Amino acid sequence: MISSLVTAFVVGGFICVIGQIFMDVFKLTPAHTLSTLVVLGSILDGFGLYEPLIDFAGAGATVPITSFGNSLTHGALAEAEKHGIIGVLTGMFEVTSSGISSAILFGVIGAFIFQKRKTTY
Amino acid sequence: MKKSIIVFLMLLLLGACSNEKEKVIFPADNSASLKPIMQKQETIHGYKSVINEENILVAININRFARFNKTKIEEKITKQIEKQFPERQVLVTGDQKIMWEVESIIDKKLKEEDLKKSIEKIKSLSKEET
Amino acid sequence: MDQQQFQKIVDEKNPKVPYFLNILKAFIVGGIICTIGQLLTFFYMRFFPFTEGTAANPTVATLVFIAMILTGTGIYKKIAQFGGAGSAVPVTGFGNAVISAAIEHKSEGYVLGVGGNMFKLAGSVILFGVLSAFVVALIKTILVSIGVISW
Repeated sequence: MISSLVTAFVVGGFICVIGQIFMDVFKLTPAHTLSTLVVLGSILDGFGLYEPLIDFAGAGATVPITSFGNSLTHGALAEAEKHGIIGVLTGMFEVTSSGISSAILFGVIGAFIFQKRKTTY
Repeated sequence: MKKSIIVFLMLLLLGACSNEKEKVIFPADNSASLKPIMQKQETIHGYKSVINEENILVAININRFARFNKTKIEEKITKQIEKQFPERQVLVTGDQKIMWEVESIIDKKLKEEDLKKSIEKIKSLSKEET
Repeated sequence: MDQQQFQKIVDEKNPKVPYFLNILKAFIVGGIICTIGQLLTFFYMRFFPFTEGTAANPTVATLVFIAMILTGTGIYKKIAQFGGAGSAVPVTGFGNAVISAAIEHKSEGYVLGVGGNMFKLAGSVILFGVLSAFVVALIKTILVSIGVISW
């Protein structure tokens, strides 16, 4: 239990450090940083390296945005394994899209409930 | 204050490492040929297993840094058990959820019908992907 | 004054980026968010029929919900100022980008304002996620079909 929490903290924190280095050292905007990380997660899954990381770190690997690229690639690959090259197109959102769907849903609910502040981001 | 927290954490760590209770096979009389297989695994520090006529269910606690190879370890142990029990269906998993489910079966000491039902439930649970 | 001299003066005038401090802050904030995620994962595994593999979905949804509350009340902005990438990289940062854009453009109506601007900031993440997933999966499928690697 406790060791899972510690590994989640360390691995999740480490992925955020990579993001911070992109932002500070390479002077990327947050949008560029996030896009790079998503591509990175997707490539890692192509080599079959992201699933072992999830097995090791749990939420430390599933909560950062890299897991978004991973799950898209994973769905595409799983479907391609079954149906060949067409599956690459159809399988992408198959495995998981809870991040997008919940962001849309809570975005609308948030817009409904909350009033505009000077800046919220 | 600070010292007592450190001592407490050390105790937790030590308690987590040496626990013979974590190696259970249920029902115990069936365990003769399963035990030696599990005993020689070096990458795990505990297992809980449930057996009936058709199924063998093993929930394993994989060592922290061996978890990178979770799927490989599961496959390896599954093959070894299948060799020993070719007529039964074997499920080996390092999933914490399955571990809790197996624990609850052992706690309730389920018999025949109930046992079969719970095992089927666990098997369908472990197959889900999304 | 040529380009180089100008650059030198600009560098002198700009405050130095405290690299190490920023990295430490990002590590701590990101780590805490992921630890909360791990606690949520344990919660969903314990009380609902989710396994380690499937519990990630409700965990992400719950974190986005928390991000909604924090964004609406303006607390997430303060976390972001302290944590930098530590608050942007976890899925809560993605949620924050979507939700804050939605709230921001509420006054323009739900179709043109909220609907049209929701993915203004987060759209690039989805675009590059889908694009790279497509390319990676395509390359791997082709490599498998000509027999270089296996699944």
